[in-house]
Amino acid sequence: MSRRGGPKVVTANDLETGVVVFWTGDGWSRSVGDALVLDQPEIQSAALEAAEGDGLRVVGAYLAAVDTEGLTHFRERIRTTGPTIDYAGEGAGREP
Amino acid sequence: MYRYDDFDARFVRERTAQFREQVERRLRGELTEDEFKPLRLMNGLYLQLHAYMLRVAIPYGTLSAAQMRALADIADRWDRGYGHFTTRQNIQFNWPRLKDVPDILDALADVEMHAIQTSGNCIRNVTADAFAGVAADEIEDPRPTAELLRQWSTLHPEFSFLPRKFKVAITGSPNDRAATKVHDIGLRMVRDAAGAPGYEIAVGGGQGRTPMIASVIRPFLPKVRLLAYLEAIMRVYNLHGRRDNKYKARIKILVHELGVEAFTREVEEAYAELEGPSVEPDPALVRAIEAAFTPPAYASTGAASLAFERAKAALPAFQRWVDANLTPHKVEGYAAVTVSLKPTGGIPGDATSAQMRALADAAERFGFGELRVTHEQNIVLPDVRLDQLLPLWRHLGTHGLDTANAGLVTDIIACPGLDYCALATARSIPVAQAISNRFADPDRQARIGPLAIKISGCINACGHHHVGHIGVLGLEKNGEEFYQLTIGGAPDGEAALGKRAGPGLAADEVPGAIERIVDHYLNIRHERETFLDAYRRVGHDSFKEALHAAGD
Repeated sequence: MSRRGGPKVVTANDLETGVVVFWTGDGWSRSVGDALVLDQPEIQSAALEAAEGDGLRVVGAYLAAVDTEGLTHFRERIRTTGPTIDYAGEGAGREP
Repeated sequence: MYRYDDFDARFVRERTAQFREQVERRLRGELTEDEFKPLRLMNGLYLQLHAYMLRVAIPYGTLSAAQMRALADIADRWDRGYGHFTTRQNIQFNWPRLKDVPDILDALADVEMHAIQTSGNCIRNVTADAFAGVAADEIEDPRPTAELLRQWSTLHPEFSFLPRKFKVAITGSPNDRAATKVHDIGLRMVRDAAGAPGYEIAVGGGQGRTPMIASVIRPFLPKVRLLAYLEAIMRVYNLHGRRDNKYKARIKILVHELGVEAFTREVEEAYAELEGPSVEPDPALVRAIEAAFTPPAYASTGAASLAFERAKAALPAFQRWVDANLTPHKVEGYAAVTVSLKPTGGIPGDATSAQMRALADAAERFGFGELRVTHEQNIVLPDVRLDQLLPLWRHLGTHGLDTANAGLVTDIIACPGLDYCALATARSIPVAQAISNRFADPDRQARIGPLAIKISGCINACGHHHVGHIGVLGLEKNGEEFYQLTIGGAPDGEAALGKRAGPGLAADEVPGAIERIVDHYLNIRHERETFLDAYRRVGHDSFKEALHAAGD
């Protein structure tokens, strides 16, 4: 979503489960720590294009800004870590 | 309750089978996401922040104990053991897997439910007064009309590709508990001079980024003419509604841009062309629908119950719950009970599968097996005998469902916000929880009296903040959440949109700010004057000044 410059990662939702995933360079991981950080705008665009073409595995790919601390925007952090509230099904039901 | 006929059962099964095939084709790569997305949305399946979300229709908010149990089973088997009841009287499951959704839809079809018309630019699931059929102030049960509208609108080719989504709400009571004035079409039952029931038709209400109160375009329409008149409205909308700009596509913009008079003229002209038996429903069909809503066999117990009176006197907590959570019933000796899904510090509208089953059990043990979902995100047990209220309260208490706060300051509406929703700009639930904790003291809540706080996590206003007595809107600026307060909104009676009360606040400032507004009300109110009445008497600026006077 971020249109500003700076390093980015490619994120999307897994097609089968909907869970948030990150592009690692050779596949998708549920951990943002595994994400491949892309510095150059041309490389970012190319990676996003490739992710958008990976429609059998993921949907809704986009670039999210990162800095040395991780994802920069609170929306992206909530999206990655899950609801910030203690909800009934947390840890109780099955994992997606 | 209405039961599916052969046609209903067949088309729901066919639709599920069709979607199963579409999911398989998507997973095999034979459909792209661009091709698949409109298909999944037509079946209520959204992609949210962390996962898919399935929105299940609960027509006019009425469901049976068996249906509630099926929802609990779905939560356990295919989701994470809970569901979220919404301001549209629906339920949402937040964690289904794509491949499981056809099985979920089959499980819904087994109990005559589906997820059709919960998304997309169609006539959405019709909402109604949650106390329909039992409210003491009602002219007539509006649900036969709501069911007729469901049958009329479902899969109707003319209404499947409207300029934008379309929401109809209906009430059979003069006291509007269905927020009809903030819907695309609001239907309010009224009587003509001869005493015959009909409808007042209001068009062009809505919330979202351009909130508007609906305009009455027909003060009285005979019941039998309803479908023809609504069809005329839909034709005018389909013809003139804007499709070039999503933000100007709702019918409220059309009514506003054409002007109410010109819009009404167009509708009346279309109506004149349409009138006649070709549009009106077969009277036999109408009678069959009406028969499905025949009141249950109430036992005549008289108006009073000694056991009930004794229990109230002996148990202050029970008395408090009775004071807050009962609505007068049209049958003597009965009450309609609101079961609050707003425990102190809880998540508004969430219910675990165990709670759903407890509610289903309660509906069967203490009622006639029927439940309602309210647009305030609570559950109603519509028919409870007064002498059954104490055992019901005890049963609810063992499941954390006995919160005595219906209509009070902690009965907060909140959308899922940024904890779930891909459209949200800020979180709603934690703000609701903080306010709920701040006002937890039951005596203080009782002292404050009726007060509706409504919270939305973005300008789409699913949390109805525009019509909150106090509204909270969550926004984002420079990577920070902030919240705008509005005061003076009302979904009912003299419906009104709240007015902004100054600059935005950080999340942790919201409970204190609301406390200042509430304290100001307590300081200035006359005896028995509600928050809204006091606000209307002294005006917006008085409250706005009080909010900012403290200087913190």
